[in-house]
Parts: sequence; structure tokens; C-alpha cells
Amino acid sequence: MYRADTIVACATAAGRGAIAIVRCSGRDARRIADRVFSAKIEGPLEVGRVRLGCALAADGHTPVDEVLALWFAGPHSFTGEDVLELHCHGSPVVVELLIASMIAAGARSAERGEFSRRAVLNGKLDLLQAEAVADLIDAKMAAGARAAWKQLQGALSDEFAAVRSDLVAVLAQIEADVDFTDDELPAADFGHRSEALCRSIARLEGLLDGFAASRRQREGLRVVFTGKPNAGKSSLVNRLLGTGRMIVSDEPGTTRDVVEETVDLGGVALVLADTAGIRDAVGAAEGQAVARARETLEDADLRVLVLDASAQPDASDLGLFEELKERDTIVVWNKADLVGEVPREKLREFEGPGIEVATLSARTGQGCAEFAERLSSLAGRDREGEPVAISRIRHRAAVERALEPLNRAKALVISDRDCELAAADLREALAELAAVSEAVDNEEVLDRIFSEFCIGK
Amino acid sequence: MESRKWDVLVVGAGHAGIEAALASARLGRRTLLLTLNLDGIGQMSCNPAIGGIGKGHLVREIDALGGEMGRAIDECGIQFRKLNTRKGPAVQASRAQADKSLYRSRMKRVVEATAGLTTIQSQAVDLLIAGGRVVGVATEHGESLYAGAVVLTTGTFLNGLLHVGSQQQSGGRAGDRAAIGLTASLERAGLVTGRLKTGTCPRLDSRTIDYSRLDEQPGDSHPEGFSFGGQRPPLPQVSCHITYTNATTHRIITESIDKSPIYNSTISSRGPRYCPSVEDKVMKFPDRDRHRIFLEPEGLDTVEVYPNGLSTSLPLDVQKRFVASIEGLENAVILRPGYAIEYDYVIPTQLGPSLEVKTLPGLYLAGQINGTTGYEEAGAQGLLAGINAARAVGGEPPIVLSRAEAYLGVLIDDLVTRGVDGEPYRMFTSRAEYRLLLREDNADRRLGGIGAEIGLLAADRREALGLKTTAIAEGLASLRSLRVNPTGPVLAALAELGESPLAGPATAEDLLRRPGLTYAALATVVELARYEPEVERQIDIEVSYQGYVQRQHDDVERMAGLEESYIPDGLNYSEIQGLSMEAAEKLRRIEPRTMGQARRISGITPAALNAVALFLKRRRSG
Repeated sequence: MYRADTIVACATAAGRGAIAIVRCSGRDARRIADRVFSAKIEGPLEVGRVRLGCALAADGHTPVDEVLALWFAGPHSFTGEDVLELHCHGSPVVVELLIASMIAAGARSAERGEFSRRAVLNGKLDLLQAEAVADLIDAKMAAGARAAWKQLQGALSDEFAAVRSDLVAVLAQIEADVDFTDDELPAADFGHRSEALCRSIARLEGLLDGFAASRRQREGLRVVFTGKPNAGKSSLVNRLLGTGRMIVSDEPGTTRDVVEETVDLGGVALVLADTAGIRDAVGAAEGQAVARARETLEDADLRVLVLDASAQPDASDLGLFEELKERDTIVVWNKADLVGEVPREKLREFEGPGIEVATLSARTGQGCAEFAERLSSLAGRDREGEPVAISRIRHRAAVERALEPLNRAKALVISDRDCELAAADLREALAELAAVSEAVDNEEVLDRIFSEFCIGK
Repeated sequence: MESRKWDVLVVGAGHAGIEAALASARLGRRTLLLTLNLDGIGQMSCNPAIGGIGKGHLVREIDALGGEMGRAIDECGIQFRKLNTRKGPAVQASRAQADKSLYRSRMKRVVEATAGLTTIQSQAVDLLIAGGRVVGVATEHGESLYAGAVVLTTGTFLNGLLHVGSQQQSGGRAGDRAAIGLTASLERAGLVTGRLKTGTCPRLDSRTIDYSRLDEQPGDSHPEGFSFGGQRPPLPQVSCHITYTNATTHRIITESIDKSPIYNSTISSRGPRYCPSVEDKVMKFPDRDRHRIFLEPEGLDTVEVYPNGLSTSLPLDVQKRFVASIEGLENAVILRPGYAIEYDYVIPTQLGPSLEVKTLPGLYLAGQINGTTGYEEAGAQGLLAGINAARAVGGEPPIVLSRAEAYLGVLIDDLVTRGVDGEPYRMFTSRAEYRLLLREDNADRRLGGIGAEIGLLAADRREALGLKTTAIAEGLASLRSLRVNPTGPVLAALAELGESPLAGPATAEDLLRRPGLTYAALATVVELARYEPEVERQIDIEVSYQGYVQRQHDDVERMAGLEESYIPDGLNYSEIQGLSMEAAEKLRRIEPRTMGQARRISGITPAALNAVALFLKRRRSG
């Protein structure tokens, strides 16, 4: 819920550092600044001027730290409100004291994403841009950061705006036809209308097509490892983690029964999810676990089935392969150091279209570099992907919901039938598309979007 | 000095005033109708026609609620045309040419025959205000007329100024004097007024028009009429004719454009973009080589013709020259010159949704005084203002129609929430977000119940509506439950209709969903109960629109949260934290009744709405 009061939070990461920034936004920011900041050289806080001074504790006179104070007058600030930033030394204690002091002066602790939310409600950012702020902050890799930056600059907003403007133009023509039959309107150009509709539909479909690639950019390529417990999945994952750079995730507890790690391989993010495998889950006789394992496999961009090259494949291995063979999968013959060459007949049982094969040893590292190379090149193919694309389920759902009426409208326009229904369809599509970028006054939607944000953003 | 006590006093006897006065009197209120000219009751100041796209919808709604306009035009119509017949039922609309003089005398007869309704000729020059309420008006003859509620329907009369070229003349319309004094009185009472402009065509003598070279436009061969359950139009039906302006016309107009008061800045107020003068059309669309003109007869017993499309305020000599340049009009004699008129209106955001002035209880405004254009928009507002004035006098709550219920709801919500933006407001179907629900054809089912509840709908109409509604529901239900199998006879009957065969079992409703198939045709394929054509037509529409109508209903449901979230009267917006001063000021001025209405105020941001919602939530919770 948007509150009109004044909020405060630490804008920099938790923990110790050289500096930390405490940010305060709202109508009382000025008054709070007067209470908690005492300038070294007498003078008021001004826009575009950094002032050195003392931050005072909640008692209003005890100095806490020497700080720099920055003043942003609304509406020319991130949130669109008056904003005070105090740059203090990066001590959690100092930060805590400063926040307490601001709260004593009338502010309250900001909720998750509340600064960005205010920016959206005050028209400083649209929703897509606000999400881009979160994406940029959470970007795991340079590619994701680049994509987020583009979105923050409004590239995706512009794409939606272009589609909407095309649709509005078509709608306006249809409405004119409806309301001005007896007036002299230029003859209706149905060819132009259906062309514009087809163009918009193609554009939206393009955004949908780019969804997977762009999500991979944002979140990394999802690689799921599966196989029997003794096949050596964990050692393979550990080996890959060893060759790459671990990316620490601050996302709270994963809901899956799988271990997830993100690793930077050759400049692209790989999300390695080690699942116990569907058969094991069945063995555990736990319906939910099976479902989750299936979902994990389903969600994956790439599946890796780890087999023990030194053992004879059994029904369990073949069963897993059955589950996977319709999708992009790499079959890894592990423990190659124990057998040398994997016999042809064994290999043949695990072949299929879209199935790749790798032979390696997680224990000795033999073949592992090549395997890592392969994964990173698979992930890297998205790097030059679509210039603008949607990356969130929320966007995809809205685009899909817009496409449905748009396709109906296209059919009606092409057959020159029931223009009032085509108009209704266009309005429906426009409303769906508007909701992607505009802050509709729907609490629930906004709550959901901003719950992803950190506090202080 | 005599003073009399009336329940409701209506000032102005145009299309708004008539509806207001009749509604009030029919609801049992002692009603006084004050007019500048007893011979001008129901005068059509501009074109001799009622209806049109969006406007026909309003007339049907007036009729469904128990108003007069639909029945009057049915009785006085001399050409009926259904518009947009190539489009779907939601945007089809009725339009009729009227015999102007018959329309006027018919309205006067009905007004005079209505019990409890008195008509007096005089001019209201001042509002009588006591204790913050409007309690009556003072007339130019020194009378003080007291009433429980006053409805002002002044049309174009408030400080009306007529322009023909550089000639200016005070007047409410050609031949009638202007109403002087009321604007100042309204302003003294604190209301903000503005000035608008509109115009009309020269009238031509039909005996001097050469119709032989022009296209004839006959009416529909089976005129439908406006009134539900009304009879077939009784008058003889006539044709209109079509001609066009040409390069010579455009040259004459362009050369004389500096003589047009609109173009030489004598008139600064804005006219309706949607109903432009011929000089506007020529100047704004220089690449068009011609503009269409409809020659509309003004009645059966008159030679006057209304050349629809030639509205102008150019000097008479220029009017004569450009008229003579048009095919068929070479020798046409102008009987009355076209002119522009400027008049005062009241900024309508000062009204509440009952059409009562928020700061002046007891005062209702309807029609062009609220910045609208058109007889239909005026009549619809007049009806609602009359109903609400009558109800207020009886201590009953006002009737407010929602945007999902009626064009009348859209019209009033637009007026009181967004205003008219400096140009006369005309109804369009595109103004209605629930257009597929608000059709001409279902106006009776949408509003008849409300009309009956208010007490304006006659008992026989109420009964007929009940039967019709039941029959439609019954027909739809049986279509849903009727299974159709692809048997020999069914396939043969479908083939007979030129329909593709049935692949497998389906319901009769599925079959009816095929484009072009009607209930009547389907009755030749399977055995169906037969109903009145009107009922079967409704079944056709319900079935063909089904998915869309459902989606619009879902939309209405989704918005219900906001539309039913009421904002208490007299909320002090300056108390609400986080509201910008501009937003608080806007909300204070408009006083939205619901969060839904607040959302439609231009410039109210989601942030402002959130702040109000939170404030109300906190207040409610304690």
C-alpha cells in the first residue's frame, strides 16, 4: 500500500564497507533533514550541492558520524518526492543509528521496493523501468545487466508504446467509421488496418519469442542435472562450480527440493540445478516431490542426464532417458576414466534427435573443460539475441492475453465484419498492454511487482 | 406582488425543458414551465431531425424511462432511417426527419394536456436564493415564482448573440430574444460560466431547387420508429436529396473567409468540431474536392428545406453565392440566412450526478446550459433533471444511472466528471466503454425497470416489457438445451439455407452462433417455439454477441469495486497526506461520489487515488 508519509532505509548493501547511504523520501524529508543533519558550514541544503556535516542521533544533538548530505527536491528526484541522502561511513551501527534518528524525526522504515513504487506512482518510472531497476541490481552477468539497462532506458516501454500507438490508430479509424457513417470520411482503408494489426501481432509474437532468450539473459541458462544417485551428478556440478565463479544468491530459500547454484562460465550465467531425478522421487513415494522434479526439468533450458559409464545402464536410466529425450538434453557418460571408451551399443541406447553426448570424468577432470565450454557456448548464443525482449512471466502473460483479442480483431477486420466487435477486441488488447507498463491502480498487482524488490530500492 | 408556490419550476421549454416538466408533472409534482415564447415549445432550432448514432440510443433510453421524445418523433416523423445497418446491432441507430411544425404543436398539446403542469410566458431574470438554496426565480414582469426546485434549461438563450457576417444581433435563436440577466445571477451565486458557439444552415425554398439532377435518398421501407411498443409512424413518408459542394463553392468561401466571424476572430468561443460549419470544412480539409449536402424537408406543409452540411455564419451575399454554386441549388432562394450563435453555459463539473448544482441545492441544470449540443442530449438530461427535481421535492434520493447501464449515465458522468473541454459535447457510441451492452435495441430491457420504479412508465408498457423479457429468456434457455443431430432432415434444411452441414451433434445455440443465421431461419431446421419478431431479434443478438457481452459484463464486475466504493460527502481533501495541492483542489471541486468517478477525473494520478483510498480505509477502520 502506498503511503504518503516519509520513508527511510539504507540504500546500500548490508554489512561493513567504506560508505553507506541512508535515503529518506517524502513530504517531511526537509524537516527530518533539519533535525538529523547539522552542516559544518552554515547554510541550507540545496539541489546540486553536496554538503559536509554531522549526522545527529535520535536525541537531536549527539553527533553520530561525519556525513555528506545530498538534497533532491521533488518532483526532480528518483521517487518524485523530496529526497535526502546521507552518505555515512559504512558501518551497520552508524546506519542503524541514522535510521533510528530519522524515525524519531518522523520517518518510518520503508517497505520492500517502496522507493521504486513511489517513483512509479508519481510517474517518474513506468512499471517496466521499475522492474529494470530490480533486474539491473540483481543482474548476475554483464549480458543481463545490459538488457536491464536498455529496459531502464525505456527500450521495452517504447516497444509496447509503438504497438499501442499502432493499435490506437486502427481503433480510431474503426471508431470514426462507427460514429460518422453519414459524414464524409475518406473511404475506409481496410488493407492498411489489417496490415497494421498484423504488424502489431508480429511484434508482440516477437517479444514472446524472445522471452526464453531474454529470461536466460536475466537469470542465466537453466541447466538441470539428473541421474541416479551414484552417477556422479554432484561431483560434476562441483567440478563445474570449481572452474567457474560462484555467484552468491541473496534470494531467500528456494522452494524446490533441488540444490541450485549459479555459476559464471565464460561470461554467461548458468543456473545449475541438481535434482535427485524423477525415478528417485517416485521411489520416495512423495507426489509433490515428483511434481517439483518434473517442473524443474520442464523449466530447464537444457537437461543433463548423468550416466555411469562404468556400470551397465538399467531400467531406471532408460526410464529417465524416456522422460528427457523429447527435449534438449546432453547425455554425459561420467567416470570415463574407469572405462576408457564407452562401447557403441551402450551409446546407441541413449541416442535421439536433439540429444548430445559427452564423455568425461568428474573425478579426474578429463573432458570437463570441454563440457563447460559447450555449456557456456550454448548459453552465450543468447548474448546477441533480440535487441528488446520481455523477460518476466508477468509480461508474457499480458502479451498472451493481448494477442487473443488481437487475433480475433484481425479476423474481423480482414473479413470486414462487425467492426464494433473488432473495436471491443482492440480496447481489450490495449488495456492488457497498458497494464504492462502503467501503474494501474490495482493494489494487488503493484504489491506483487514490488515484493520482488529489496528494501531501500 | 403575487407569489405562488410550485413544487418544480422549469425555465425553458425546449427539448430539455419539456422532458423535465413532463416528468415532474407526471410524478405528481405541481410544475410550472416558464418560457420566453409559448409558440416556441419544442422548437427545433437547427436541423429538422432526431436521432443519429449515439443520439438515437439516447432517444430510446428516454423512451424506456418514460420520457416523451421517442413517441413525439414517431408521431411527427416524415422519414425514418436506420443507420449503420452494415454494422452490428450495438452501433446501429435510428434517425428520423421531423415535420418541425407538427412536432412543435404536438409537444405543446401534450404539455397543455398534462395534469399538474402550467405553462407561463415570461423571462426569468434572477434566481431567488434563501438559506443557501435556490427557492425560485424572479421574472421580468416583477413576479417572484417560488418552487421546491428549479430546473434551468436555457439552451442557447443565455446572452445569446447571433452572427451573420459582421452583423450581430442579440437573440436566443433567429426570431427570438435572448435571456438576459440569468448568467449574471448564476455568477453572483458563485457559479463559473463560459461561452460556446454553434451555428445553423440557411433555409432554402424547395420550389426553387432542381431535384431532377440530384440523388434521392428515401427512408427505410419499413420504418421502425423509436418508441418501444409504439405504432408504425402514421405520417406520409418523404425523401431527402443529396448534392455536393464543388471547387467553385470552395473558392467562394475561401475568398470570403475573412468575413466569417469565426475566422476574423469576432467569435473566439469554440464550436463543435463534430458539426463544423461549411467554412470550417473547406478551410480545414483543403484537399477534399467536395462535401456532401443532405437536403432535408422541414415538414410536409412547408417549402422550407434544411441543407444539412451548409452551416455558416458568412454574410448573406456570400451565402447566396456559394449556395448558387451547388448543383441543383443554382436558383435556390434563401428563406432564412444561416448564422452562428454564441451563448453562455455553466461549467458542468459544478454539478453532481443528479444534475443538481453542488453549491446551490434546489437548482438543476439540463441541456445546452451544461455545454452539450443536440436535442437528444438535451432531452435526456432534461428527463433526468426533472425526475431528480421531482424526487428531491418528495424527499426521495436521486436517480443516478451508471456508465454500464445507459448512455445517459455516460453522458452525465462525462459532464460532471470531466466537463466539456471548451467545445459543445456530443454523444458518440465510442464514449461508452460498455458499448456492446448499451444498445438501442435493448434500451427497454436495460431501463424499463428503472422507469417503472420511478413511476414514469405506463402500466401497459411495464406489462409488455415483462412478457418480452420472459420470452427472450425462455427462447435462449430452450436454444441451449436443444440438441441438434446431423440427421437427414437437419442436413437438408441447412443445405436449403445455403449453410454448411453439421459435422456432429450440437446445441441449437451453437448453430445460431453461425454468422448470418437467424432464429427465424433456424426454425426451418429444428423445431423452435416462435415469438414476436422483436423477441427473436433479441435472441439473435444475445447469441451472436454472447462472448463479447460476457467479457464486458466481466469488466463491469471488475470495476464494481471502484464504482461501489463511495466517498463520503464533504470529505476534506486537504487533510489527506500525500495529495498534491492540485489533486486535492480538483477532487474538492469535482466531489466524486465514488473511487471509480475519481479515477476518471483528468490529472488524478494513481498516487493520488491511493492516498485517498488509504485515508478512507483508515477512517473506516477507526
